Amino acid sequence: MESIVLAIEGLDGLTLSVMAAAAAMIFAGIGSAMGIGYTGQAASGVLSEDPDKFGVMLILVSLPGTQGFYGFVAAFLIILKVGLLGDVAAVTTAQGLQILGAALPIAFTGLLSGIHQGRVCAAGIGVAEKKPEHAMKAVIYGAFVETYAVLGLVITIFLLNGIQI
Amino acid sequence: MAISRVLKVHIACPSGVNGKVFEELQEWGKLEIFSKKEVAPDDSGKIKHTILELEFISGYLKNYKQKDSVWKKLNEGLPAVSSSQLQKIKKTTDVRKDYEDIRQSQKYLRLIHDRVEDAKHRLDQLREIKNIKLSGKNLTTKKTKTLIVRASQQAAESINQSGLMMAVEVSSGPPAILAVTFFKKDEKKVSGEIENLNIHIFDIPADKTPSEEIQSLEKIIKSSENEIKEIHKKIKDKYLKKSFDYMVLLDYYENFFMRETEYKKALATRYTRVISAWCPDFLKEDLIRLVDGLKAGCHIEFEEPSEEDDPPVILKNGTFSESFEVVTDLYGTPSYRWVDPTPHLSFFFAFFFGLCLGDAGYGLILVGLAVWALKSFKISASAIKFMKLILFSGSASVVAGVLTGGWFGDALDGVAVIERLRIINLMESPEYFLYFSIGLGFVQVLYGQLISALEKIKRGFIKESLYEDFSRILFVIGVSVFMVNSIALESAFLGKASAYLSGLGLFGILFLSGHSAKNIFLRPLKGLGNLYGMTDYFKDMVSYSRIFALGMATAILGMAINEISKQLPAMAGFIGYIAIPFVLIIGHLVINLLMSCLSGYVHTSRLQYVEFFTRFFEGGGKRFTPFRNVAKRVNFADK
Repeated sequence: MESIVLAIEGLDGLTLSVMAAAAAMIFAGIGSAMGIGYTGQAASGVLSEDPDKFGVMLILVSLPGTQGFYGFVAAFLIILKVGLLGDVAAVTTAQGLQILGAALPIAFTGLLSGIHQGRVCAAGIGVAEKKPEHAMKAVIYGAFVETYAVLGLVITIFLLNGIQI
Repeated sequence: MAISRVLKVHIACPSGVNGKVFEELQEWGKLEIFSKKEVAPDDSGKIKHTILELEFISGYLKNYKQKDSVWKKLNEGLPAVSSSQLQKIKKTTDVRKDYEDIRQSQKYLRLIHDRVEDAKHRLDQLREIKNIKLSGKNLTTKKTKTLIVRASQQAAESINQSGLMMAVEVSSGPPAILAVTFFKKDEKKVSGEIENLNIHIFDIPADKTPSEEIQSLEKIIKSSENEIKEIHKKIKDKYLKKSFDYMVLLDYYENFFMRETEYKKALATRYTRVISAWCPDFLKEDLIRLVDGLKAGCHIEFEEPSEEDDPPVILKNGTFSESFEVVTDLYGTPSYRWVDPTPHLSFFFAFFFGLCLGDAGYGLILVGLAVWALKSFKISASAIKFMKLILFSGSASVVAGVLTGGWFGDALDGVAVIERLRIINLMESPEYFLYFSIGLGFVQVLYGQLISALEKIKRGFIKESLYEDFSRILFVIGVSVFMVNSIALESAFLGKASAYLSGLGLFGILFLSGHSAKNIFLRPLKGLGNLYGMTDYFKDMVSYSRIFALGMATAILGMAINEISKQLPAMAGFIGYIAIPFVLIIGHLVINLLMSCLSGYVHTSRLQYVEFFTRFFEGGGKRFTPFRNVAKRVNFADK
């Protein structure tokens, strides 16, 4: 335990901030990538039978992609916060840890909601295949899962906004 | 602006003129025919056969036709056909004959195609042994027989070691071509041996050498291919030019089939047939005029739908609200005896979408695209509604963008006019946007409850309205004002007033809202359950924070795209400068605009369905489906 504390103390605030931005992007990005992986596979199966259904399924396939963008938004906010694009701010270890903590809500909600939204939308592909006129109903189910990534982003934005550097 | 009143109408006509009346009613296309008589469509009748034949012809001719581009379809819409054109097409087209002819041609083409494939396969084999100058006849003597085979080295050795055959190499491999000779008397044994050795025996015709056979096969292929070309040319010349006629006839016969099916549903006596239908109340006079104008001796009678009836639902809204019927349709059809949510959700939908997108630049693009599509393309009525939805929602986004200073992210930050119009800076004070979003939730949730309360009063359920809806409204307002006052305002008057309101609401929920329970001791228990359900109201309001999150995501992503393009020259020098327009266009239009529109549409819809509709919506209605000519491929202009 002591060694962990020492290791963290050894890290400067900027390194922790970079880790925070990376975590937000990586986890939310993985969630989206896996989600789109599920929907893409399901949609390709349908396309092999009926290529004309491409347009109908496009929304369902792309829906789990949003979490990756939320992660990107959070990462960009962190980059702006610590001035990585211009004058780099002096960030203490405590502030770095705060930023890392602020990145976690979107990182984890993005990761898990992306995966589960992918599963819901992949099931929705079945609806789009059999009853294309009802495909948007399946999209709305997918949106329910995304709610938690949205809430994660809300909290990340407010936590970052509250951290004074 | 609501659900239209619908009447039951019965039109009794002499049997002789009934077909004509049906035709006229189908052309008019404003009635939904109903019948207690269940009649299955006659799938074995002559008309159905004609439809199937036309579908076959149209499908087959698609192989010869270039597909019309989406652009062309949007620009030109469905081609118009006058009734004289239709009559001419009907007169000059013998569907049965054309079908038979095309079907025969298709069968014959398949035969020739198989013949060519067979010949090509044989040709491939014979080319391996083209140097053998012997025909099948020459390979057999009185006592011996010779086979030409393709075999591996190992198989060749096995043949020679068998003692039954002798193999001589004709051409070297691998695999080698061998002449295998054996005595006719050993033929059975040899066959068994050869089967085990996995070798290929070439089939050489009795009276031709391989090279002669190759020549004749090449001739067959060439003549067959010419034949195929001829048949394709014949189909193209004879039928392709008539493909439009087939489309016209397909639409005509499909509508005819629909009419025939509906016709059979009408109740009939020996001399009379009665058409029963649902008629929109506002078209009652038009229908009377139409039937009188036919001078067919028909009698028409209207009646109000009874309590047991389940009339179809017609949504009738103004230009603004009707664009949002697509949102209602997606959820389901409201009950005929309740309220149409479309006019109530229309403003909220446009406004919330505008806030989710929250960028004036993107909003202008949407408005431009919608206006362009509406002006330039010939699109269906539902597509027009959707384009108008984009137009109104895009306009709301322009307003939201102007007020938050969002123009393609932060591209125009610092411009004097933009700064003067901006009333909130999302990056500096995002919390106000969040409070505003939750405040919108408060307004919409209460508005939904108010719709329920007023609808109940309108229908005479005054007790239900006061006990169930108004007590909830008072409680939510009281608690919300109390919370805001305690955190921010700290006004003694508001504190007291909100406490009274909450208390009144609480009393109503606990002791009155359970009034429907027959057992009076159960009523407070039911009220307690209703009080627990009040947490949903506050949970739902928090759900509106998604408007904030999506609006912020669009703004920050836009900023990021601008920042990346600014950094490009420093990162990649001259190439960086060239890449800037691509990054800006792809980033703003392809990524941010598309993604934000998708999220905005989906999440705004969800707010209507889950948070708003649950307060007052009653579904279970069925949409009015008029008996009319359906224009799938062509538009019958006179009709």
